[in-house]
Formats: sequence, C-alpha cells, structure tokens
Amino acid sequence: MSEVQPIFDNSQAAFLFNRSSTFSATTRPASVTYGDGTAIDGIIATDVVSLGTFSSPQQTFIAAESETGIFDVAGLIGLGWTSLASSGGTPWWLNVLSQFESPEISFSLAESVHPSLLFAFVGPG
Amino acid sequence: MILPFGHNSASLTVGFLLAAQLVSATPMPARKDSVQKRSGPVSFPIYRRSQNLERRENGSPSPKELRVKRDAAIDRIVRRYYSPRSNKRKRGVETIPVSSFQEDNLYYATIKIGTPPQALDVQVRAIRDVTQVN
Repeated sequence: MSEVQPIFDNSQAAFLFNRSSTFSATTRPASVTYGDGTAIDGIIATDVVSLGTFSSPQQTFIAAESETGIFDVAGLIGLGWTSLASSGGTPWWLNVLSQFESPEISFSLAESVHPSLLFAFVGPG
Repeated sequence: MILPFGHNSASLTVGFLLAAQLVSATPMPARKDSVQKRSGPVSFPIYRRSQNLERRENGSPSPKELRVKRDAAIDRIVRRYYSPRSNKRKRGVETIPVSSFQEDNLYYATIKIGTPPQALDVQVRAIRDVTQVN
C-alpha cells in the first residue's frame, strides 16, 4: 500500500502518507456508511491538517483504504460535533477553535455566476 | 400569480377573481359561477411589487432586507477583528473560499495535510445519516 487517502479518494489526488514526516497511523480499523449507501473502510491515523492559516497539528482522521460507491473527491472534512466522528477523534474545527479570537464561524452562500460558499473563521487579531 | 393573496385564496378561481379586482377600476362582483363557465385559456396581468412593498404582509423580512442585514453583520465582524495596522499578525477574519459542484449539491475546500503540506480537495459536510464504528 503506497497511498493512504485521508478519508476517501476516487481521483488522482491522494494523500501520500509516506512522504509526510508527521503522519502517524494506528492499527484501529474504522468505517463510515453514509445515508446514500456510500461507505469507506480504513484505519485511524493522525497528521497535521490545515485549512487556510488554521492548523491542527495532530488531527485524527480515517485513512480510507477502500470505498463503496463513488465519491470523486480526495477526502471529506466534517463540520459536525464529536459525537458524529467515527474516528473517535475531535473534529478539525473544534481542534482549531483555540486559535480563534472569538469562537465564531460563518458560512455565506455567495451569489455569483459560479455559486460558491465562503467559509469564514474569526481568528486571533 | 396568486401568491400575494395566498392567505385568503384557496383556489385558482378565487385567485383569479381577486386579481381581476386588482386590475379593474371598480371591483367586479365575486361570482364564482360565471368564472366556472369560462373555457379556453384565461390570462390576466401580474405586476412586480414595487420596492417599498417588498416587506411581506406577515412582517417577515424580504430577501433584500435579509441581504442588507447579512452584509451589515459581515462588516461588523470584519471591523471588530480585522487589524490592518499589523501585517505580521494573522488576520482577524479569515475567509476560506469553497467551490460548489452539481448546482450547490456538494461543496469543496482545499485542505493541506502532512509535512511538507500536501494540498487536497475535500468535500465539506455537516451531517451524516448512518454511522458504524468497528
């Protein structure tokens, strides 16, 4: 196994775990089944995960080794609470909450020709 | 077409009568039987509501009012946390663009994972329907 995908991947973009000096894997298996019938199987791992300038140095995630159904993305980042995390880890957004000056996150469905979502964090000033 | 009268019209017939009253100088008598005898297509003009009438009758804010409120809220957050005086410090408010796929069915963001960081496009999700942990 030369590649481990952070959550799942059905494209050419995949996480090359053996090129990361901070990657750490456990032997604990985990699986997630979604409401549409898609599913992944993998192992629980940790590595540094960043979005924008917010970074979680030891983020727990499921490194997917197999998938059921079509995902067409390299991975998935959840915005739910810890109780929803099949990895048992703390969700990324809760881990970086301490880097926020104020615990506020907003989502803006911007109006444009190409619809986009703006994901805004309030960080330290 | 009958939306402005939705609270007091239960059918298209009644809606048509109300619209007819709207466009005529003198209100027509609401005679249901005469309408039901009509055959073929029936058309009547509809008007775009003027801006000062955009507030809905039940008092809920209009889409335009919601947009103004949203923009004002974003401005407040930016003013409160953004410090333009220091270029070295992290911006108070950081906006991370996310792209959508299949008409806003899915949303993507680019995360960086590992050392050195590898950029990966991941789907942003807030809910999950079924969970199974081994």
